[in-house]
Amino acid sequence: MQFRDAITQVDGLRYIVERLGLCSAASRNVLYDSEFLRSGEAVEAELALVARAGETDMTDVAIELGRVKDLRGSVSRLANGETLDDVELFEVKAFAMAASSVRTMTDIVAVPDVSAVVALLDPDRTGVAHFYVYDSYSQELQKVRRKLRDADEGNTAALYTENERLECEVRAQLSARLSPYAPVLREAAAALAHLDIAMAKAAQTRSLGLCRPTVATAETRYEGLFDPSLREALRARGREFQPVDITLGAGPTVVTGANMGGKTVLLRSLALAQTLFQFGFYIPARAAEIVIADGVRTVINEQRDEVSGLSSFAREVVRINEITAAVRRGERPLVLLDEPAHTTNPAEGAAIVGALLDFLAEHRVRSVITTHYSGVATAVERLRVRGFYGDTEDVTVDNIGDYMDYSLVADEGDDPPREALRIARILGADEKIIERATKHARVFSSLPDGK
Amino acid sequence: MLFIDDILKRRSVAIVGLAKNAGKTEVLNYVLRNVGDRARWVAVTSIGVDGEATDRVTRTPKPEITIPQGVIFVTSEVHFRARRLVAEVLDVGQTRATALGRQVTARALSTGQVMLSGPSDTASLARLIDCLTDGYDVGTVLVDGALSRLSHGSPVVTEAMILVTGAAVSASIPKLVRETKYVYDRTQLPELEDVALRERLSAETEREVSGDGWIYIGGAVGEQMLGALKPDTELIIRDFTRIFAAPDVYYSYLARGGQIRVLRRSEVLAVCVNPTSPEGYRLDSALLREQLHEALLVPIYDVRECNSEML
Repeated sequence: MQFRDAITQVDGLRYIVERLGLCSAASRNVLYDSEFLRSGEAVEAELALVARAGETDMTDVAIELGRVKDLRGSVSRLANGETLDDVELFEVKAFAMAASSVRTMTDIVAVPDVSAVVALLDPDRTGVAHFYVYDSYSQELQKVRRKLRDADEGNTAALYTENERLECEVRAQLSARLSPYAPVLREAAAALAHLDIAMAKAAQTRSLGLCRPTVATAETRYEGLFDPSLREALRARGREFQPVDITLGAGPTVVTGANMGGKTVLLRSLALAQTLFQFGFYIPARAAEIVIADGVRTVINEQRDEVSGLSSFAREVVRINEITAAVRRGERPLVLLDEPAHTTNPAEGAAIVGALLDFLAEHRVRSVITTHYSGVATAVERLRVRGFYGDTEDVTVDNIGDYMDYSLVADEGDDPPREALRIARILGADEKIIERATKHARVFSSLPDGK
Repeated sequence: MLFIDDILKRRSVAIVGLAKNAGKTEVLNYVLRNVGDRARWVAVTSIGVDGEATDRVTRTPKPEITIPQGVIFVTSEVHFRARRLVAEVLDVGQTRATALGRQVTARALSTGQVMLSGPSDTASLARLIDCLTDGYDVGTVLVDGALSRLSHGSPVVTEAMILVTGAAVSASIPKLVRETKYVYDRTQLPELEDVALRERLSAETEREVSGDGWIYIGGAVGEQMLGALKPDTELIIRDFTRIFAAPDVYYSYLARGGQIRVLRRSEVLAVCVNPTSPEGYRLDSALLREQLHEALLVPIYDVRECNSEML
């Protein structure tokens, strides 16, 4: 999976990318093309780079990186033996000069030596990143230009044509001499983009309050996990995001809890953190150790797909099939399922959830499943959102979030959380309906097995 | 040469043609030819897609500008490649600004011709002017501008303007004078005095905002709107080019006591006239200048006399 795909698949990643202060537009393309890292060493190396970029004053480097343009087109043309025009030669020169400066300024990233390119494009050793076909490339050109400058206006057409012919010759020769440097220019461009991305990540770490995760092998553990975009939205309304602590073992973890208990937000935060981690970003938490996964696969509600014409249940089945197929192929992604089968009837829904949990436990797939169903497989980790507290009288639709404790606790009981009626009342549901529902609920819970 | 001195005192000057082929290019070429030893501190570019759009219809080539050695020019990649002069590339834009490619900033190392195609919108032009004056020590940026309702770019980000009118606008002197006066009158609309409100409205993205006794229209103000506005409400517009109404509607609004304020105003340094129409029809230059001067009370120059340097 490339970063550009992850942006469309992982909620909240776009928020992070839009706030990433890259110095050069060229680096954005490199970031978008970067691959999801699947080894602990690669992630560790990337995080160490971000840490170093954050510890050093990179102001001068940032100025040089700001001058870097996207060289891919020009370098490909050089590699193919084509002749570059003045604008392209200018870009190559400005790039090579910036790369040479950065090389002397920092060793955080190894920038290859491109001084030979600078020498070719700066024959007069001006040290200025401007370019034209300099007189010193050709004596003949020098003569024609002298004549051109002395000639009367309106008498220059022939001279200009000659000048143009000689310039073309020089450009062809220059391009041929630059062609062997195409690979090293590519490497240098990649190195500068890598440095730019690391610097931007480091700066963002400070502005968003992210932490450096460590690579774990047994358990994934988050302290104070949060969702940066939701936190900002809440702050804009004078409220605070309540961070969550959670530990995920090798198999599935079930999360139950009241409506509005932040279960979907939890899954989104987990997906975002794992994705950021494996693209070498710091993550939105106070502290974290994370086990490498073969990707992040989510089935989170609100992912609308009305075009395909599938019902929400059918859509879910399709997505879950993809996940089980991947697991059977031997992949071990982080799987996040938001109330699977919640649109079907409760008895069958609970059966489906049970079967999914069996499958995920059997294949030891690190996963989180939120559900309202009780009585599902007992062999898995179970967590419950602590949920709603306070007296109903004080609570309104507007402040209900203030009476919700989003933290997770171990859940031993078999009963599903019974807060729906209370919350429905606060939300202003019809009083008559609530009364009747309360009566029905008493009848249900008095029956054996809760059936 | 008072005219040139006046121009070089300003940070940016737009040469604005009232009609296609009014003679804008001749005036710009005249100014460039006479910058003399101050060439290194002069830059030139253009604004608006107006030129290209018309060219595609009439298939007439876009006129080339003669750039003297030393002058900085900003044009698109495509037109830069088609240049007929020796030029040093100083910078290239990060993104493709228009269909003609990225924006190239270059300095002429020999005198020669190039087609100008600068930024297409007002905000980009304002940024470019800042960039040229801050980054390359440019004292004066000349802008080849056009007035067109088709254009997103308004030249009214420059400090001053030179209006170019002529037989291309109308073959009748009274009508030509009337139309030129109408443009000139609008350029004289007073700037909004409340600086805080001016800054707030400049950043406004809404098309319409109103306050106590005023209404701000971000886009074009047409005849219907002008006819329907109550004269006791002060009308605030971006700049004079946003009014698209026949002269009688405009003047009757003012006669009813209507007040119009602009967010941006640029001083008119001079009006240049071209008595020859593109079809070859010629007006009496002396009479035309006399009548324009009477109507506008600003210096009036003949474009062709610009050419022969008899100014």
